[in-house]
Amino acid sequence: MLSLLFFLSILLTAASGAAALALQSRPALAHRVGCWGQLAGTLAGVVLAILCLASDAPGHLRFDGPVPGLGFTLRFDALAGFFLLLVFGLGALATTFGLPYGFIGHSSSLGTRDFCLGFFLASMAVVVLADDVFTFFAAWESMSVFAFLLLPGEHEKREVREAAYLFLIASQVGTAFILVAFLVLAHHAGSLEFDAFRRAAPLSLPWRSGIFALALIGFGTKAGMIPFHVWLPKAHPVAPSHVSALMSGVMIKTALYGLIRFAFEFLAPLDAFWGLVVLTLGAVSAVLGALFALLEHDLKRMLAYSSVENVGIILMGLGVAIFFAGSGKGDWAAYALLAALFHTLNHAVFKTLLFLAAGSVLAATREASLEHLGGLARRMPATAVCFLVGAWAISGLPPANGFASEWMTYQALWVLASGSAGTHLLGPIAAACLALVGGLAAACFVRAAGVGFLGLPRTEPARRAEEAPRGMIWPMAALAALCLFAGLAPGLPLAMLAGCLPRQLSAPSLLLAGPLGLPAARSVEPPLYPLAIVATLAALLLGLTFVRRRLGTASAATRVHGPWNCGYPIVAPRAQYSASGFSQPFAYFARKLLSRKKLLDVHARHHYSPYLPESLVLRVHSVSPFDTLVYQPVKRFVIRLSKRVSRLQTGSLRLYLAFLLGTVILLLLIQP
Amino acid sequence: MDLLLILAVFPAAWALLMVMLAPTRDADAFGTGGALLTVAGSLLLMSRTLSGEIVTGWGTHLRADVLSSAALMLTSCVFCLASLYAGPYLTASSGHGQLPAGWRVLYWPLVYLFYSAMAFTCLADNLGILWVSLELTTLVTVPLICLNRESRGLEAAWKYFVLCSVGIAFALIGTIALYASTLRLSGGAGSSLSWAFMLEHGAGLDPMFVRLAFLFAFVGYGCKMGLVPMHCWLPDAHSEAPTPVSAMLSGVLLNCAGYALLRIAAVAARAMGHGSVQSVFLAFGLASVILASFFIVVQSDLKRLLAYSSIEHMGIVAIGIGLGADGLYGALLHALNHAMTKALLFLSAGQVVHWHGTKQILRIQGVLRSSRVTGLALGAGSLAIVGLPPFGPFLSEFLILRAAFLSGHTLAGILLVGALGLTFAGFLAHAVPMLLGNPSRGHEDERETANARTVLMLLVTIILALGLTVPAGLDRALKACVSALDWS
Amino acid sequence: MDTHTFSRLVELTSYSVLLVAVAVVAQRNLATSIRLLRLEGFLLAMVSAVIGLYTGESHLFWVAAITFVIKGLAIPSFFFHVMHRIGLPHDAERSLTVPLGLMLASGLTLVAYHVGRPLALASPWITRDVLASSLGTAFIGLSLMIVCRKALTQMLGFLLMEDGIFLFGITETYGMPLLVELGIFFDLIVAAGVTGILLLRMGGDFGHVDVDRLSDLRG
Repeated sequence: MLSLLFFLSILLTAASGAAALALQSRPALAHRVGCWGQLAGTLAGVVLAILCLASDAPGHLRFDGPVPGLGFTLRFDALAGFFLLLVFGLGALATTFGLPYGFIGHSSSLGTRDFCLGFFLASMAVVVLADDVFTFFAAWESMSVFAFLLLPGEHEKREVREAAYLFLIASQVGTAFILVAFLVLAHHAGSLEFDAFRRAAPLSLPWRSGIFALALIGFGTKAGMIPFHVWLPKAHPVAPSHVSALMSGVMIKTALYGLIRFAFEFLAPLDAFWGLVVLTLGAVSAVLGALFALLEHDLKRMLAYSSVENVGIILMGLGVAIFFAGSGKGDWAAYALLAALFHTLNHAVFKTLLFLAAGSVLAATREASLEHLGGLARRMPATAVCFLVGAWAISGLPPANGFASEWMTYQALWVLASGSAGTHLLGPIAAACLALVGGLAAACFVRAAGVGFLGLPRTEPARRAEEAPRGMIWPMAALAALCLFAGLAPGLPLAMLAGCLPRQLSAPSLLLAGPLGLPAARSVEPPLYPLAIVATLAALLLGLTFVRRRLGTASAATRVHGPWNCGYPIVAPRAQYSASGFSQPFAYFARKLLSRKKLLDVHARHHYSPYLPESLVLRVHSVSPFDTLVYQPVKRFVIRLSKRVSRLQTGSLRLYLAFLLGTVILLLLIQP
Repeated sequence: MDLLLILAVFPAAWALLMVMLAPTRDADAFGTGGALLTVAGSLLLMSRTLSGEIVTGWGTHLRADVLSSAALMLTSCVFCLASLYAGPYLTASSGHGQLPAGWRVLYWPLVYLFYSAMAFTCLADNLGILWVSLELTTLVTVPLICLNRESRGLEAAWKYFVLCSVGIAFALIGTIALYASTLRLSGGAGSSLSWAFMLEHGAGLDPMFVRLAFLFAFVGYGCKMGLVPMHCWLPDAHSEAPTPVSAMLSGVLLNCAGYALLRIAAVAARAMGHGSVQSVFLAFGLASVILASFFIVVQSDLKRLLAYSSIEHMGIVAIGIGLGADGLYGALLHALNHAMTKALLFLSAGQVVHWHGTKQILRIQGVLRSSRVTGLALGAGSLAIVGLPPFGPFLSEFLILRAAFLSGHTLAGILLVGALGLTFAGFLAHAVPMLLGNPSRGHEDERETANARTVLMLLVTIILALGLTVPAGLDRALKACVSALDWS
Repeated sequence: MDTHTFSRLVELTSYSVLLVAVAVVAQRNLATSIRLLRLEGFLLAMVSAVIGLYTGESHLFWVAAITFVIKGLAIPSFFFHVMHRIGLPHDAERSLTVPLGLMLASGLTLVAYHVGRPLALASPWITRDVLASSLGTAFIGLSLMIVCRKALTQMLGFLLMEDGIFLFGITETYGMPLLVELGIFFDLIVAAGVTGILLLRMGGDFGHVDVDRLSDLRG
């Protein structure tokens, strides 16, 4: 049954992509065939994922690979099922969104895009199901290739080409680390199969630490962990929005999946120190990601930075989990890992929602910069509501799902604070970071929602924006409903995730907080009920309104004033609070972290005098310090080294002959 | 009927026939037709040897086991594809004045002699004949490289000629020394240059003498194979040759040299143990891969880029050979994959160079939009050559990496992964800007000839198919090759 | 011919071959170099004939005759012909002075002896010491190619190297199978032909045959 569903889903998604490619000469038909086929495939995949989650014992599937002796092995267990649910569930929604979305805008390469999307989804599914190195690696590489092929749709733009190239290089560098980690393990276990890794006697601690470091760098690169994140904010916004949604929502999660498998299954017993490293990197990613997101004007790039932030939060949970698992506190480790997984789920949902909403805005206005939007709430009410729900959730406010998982992460960090000397400081510091992140994220999305959707339209396209077609609205609505559902009834997704935990971390009994409750880390403390918060808040609000109305009518008469408009009769769009204005204080505080370049273009009416400008354009580039301090020097070093080496080929035949003689003599003298 | 002799001599006879009979007009038809016949012949041989039969010919000077027929088949396939491509290419090039008009009259006989020499290389049992034919490949290709009347071509040809002649002279020392070591066999087993004889009596050969022979042969044939630091002729020759010749040089001549080296190594390993022979392969392979990756990063000439990539892939093949039986399986598969991919790349790059009139990478852009077929071919070839799925080289590189790590050569494996990563970044940094973007003015809508389109699509299909599955027959042939060499 | 005379004769000739190679390094006149090459050819033909006499293998006399014709007569005169066609000066330009060149040659000979010594000790052949001098000749030939600036002298070095290899072959194996010998000679002739064509074209296209100026292709 599992294997049947697997083949059905993979073949449907991939084959419909291939059909779309074949029908390329008729883009509309190709797109329809591709989307409907992929929708059918992903729905089959969702069923498969649910079966995996429900199954008690892992099921295996083996079939012949391309080379005899190099077969494909798949394993259907609960953890894979959870990630499979993300791939196919969000894949289904994104495909649904993509059907009408594809028809908006230029549709010359729709068939190619659907082809790549189909194979992208299929390879992500195989990544999470893979149970040997070859299967994993082949699927992982295909995932990168097809994601790369999805990027350069508008490749006449230079930054698109560069982003596509950067994406491919970054993912390949990450892959190299992962591959070495895998193959070193395989050497130890004597087999490429993951089951052999699980069974093999543990390696010595230095080897395990080395492998973990390789895996952390490799998967961290793919996940967008700082300092390996540079490619992510450049590459993700370039793709079509529903693909960006899948990249940010799902693809980077496969890296976290790999890290969890590595840490808890292949490298057991864990070392507590690794957890602290992961925690630190996670905290740095979260804080800086949130800060960068706040300073970004491009809607999609802002969302991409926010992915860095959320990966950071997930890594914080994961780090605590590794720490506890390494210190032998299985139930707390389970709790922290649960927090991380829950945030993975939540982030996947609301990030997909936000990217789809951004896509809807983009389709209506062709503007991605916040500074060119505004007033969309009135023109695109449904999109605005969905975006608002997503923004609410990502800011970690109750009762949406972001709150639930972040609260659990806090809980895990507080438990860490009560630990032994050395780590008891780290817990509060990390918690403070998380609090800062929450504040920054809230500011960021208040800005996005406020500047983008409220007020008056700043440009003509924004003025002419129209609501997206219904086919694009309802996937967003479904995601928005999911955000609220997971926030109000966190017990249900948590029960599902508890089944995914690695075997050595048995789901603790403290999780039994009921479908509506959020369990606390220490079982002595009572669980938290988001619904109760909502009820309390609602009651307070109602009460206040009531009291105010009663008191208001009693005390003072209402006075109506027109605002003072500096003498202008009408409020102009340009007089509104701008996105740059909103983030300026943050930019000021973070100025050491960012090298921002300001360029003032003066367009003079008269060439003889720059003092009579017709217009002034201020362009602010914020350059990531990691780019200038780390990546550019590395790139320059490699190129310089290569240039130096390539001087060996001087063009002198006599030198070449000398190489030949030298090699012979050296070999004869060494006599290997 | 002596099948082997016919297979090896037929192309030379065909060349003679073309000189005598074919007027300029029909030369292309003659050339392409003969190439198809060579493929048919190699298929026939393959069908006989695949079952384990050993075919001998010309006394016992020629001998074909499955490895020889596989090498011959690869050679004839690439030769045939390049010949299909060559006809219209020659017309177009002489039309543009890049090649002298009478070129075609010389081109076809020379490539047929070239093929004949390679066929002798693949089929020779006598190591002396192997050496003579490999030396002949050098001598025949020299005029092919410098026939385009450019000073750069002449310079490349001179360097190629001198370096390969010196290299192959070292290989002669190795061959003589091997023969001399059979003279020293105890028990009066007799002396012979026969490879089969040497392999059989390998354990009785004097290891010290065999070591000398192997080292000289390694430097000699390794030079012809393009291993660092004997590689210096390769980027010059491969980049200056006309496109179909480049494809054959990179696609199959390097493999033929590797084949010769492998034969000698098999004998040497019997006498002096597999460990020390393999360590030499491993060291030179790693040096090639690492050094070539640096050259790839800063290359500005499209065809030289491809040439350095050939050095890199020959390095990968050498590493595979140096890793024992599993590695050898991967190495043989990789040689096949590389031959097809590199032929594809050289032929599609030839189109691009022909259109733009320059080999400078920076002056080429938007190939994907200027021509769908060539763009697709160049793109697929680029993704394939850097080792991405779903193309053939991905599989073979993975097999070699697996062999490296599982056999405990962790450091070599890590170095290989690092060099492959650098090559990946370097190669695509050149390929991506060439493929993407808008084409420069005047190149918005380019057309390739029908022949070129067929050949390119065929090659794309082949590398794709090789990436999706290794057919059972190929797998059997590769395993038979590994056991024929008694490699472990 | 008794064994003792035979071995002395072969050793004497092979040392002369090495000595002539050193002599090529030690002087700077192109014409003299070609003449020395011719002398090498004669010496090699003599070695073949002596070994043929000793072993009674008739094909070695053929080898001797062909060597005499090709290495002793044909190739040197061909070189003279090319030299006159291109109009080379008689000075064979080197990038090393003669003393330095001699030191290099002696160093290479030492390496050859170092490598050949253990092999010679293990060898059952009576002419075993010849191995080192033949390898030395080959190395000196190659080193001549490295220090020579002119394409023609480079080819001279190559032929010297070939002579060393020929000596190696004939003294280590007492004659390869005739077929292979023929193949090797055939290659030699074709190589000389290719050299001539390339040299003439270089002379025509570039107006020089200076190897150092052939450096357009780099990187």
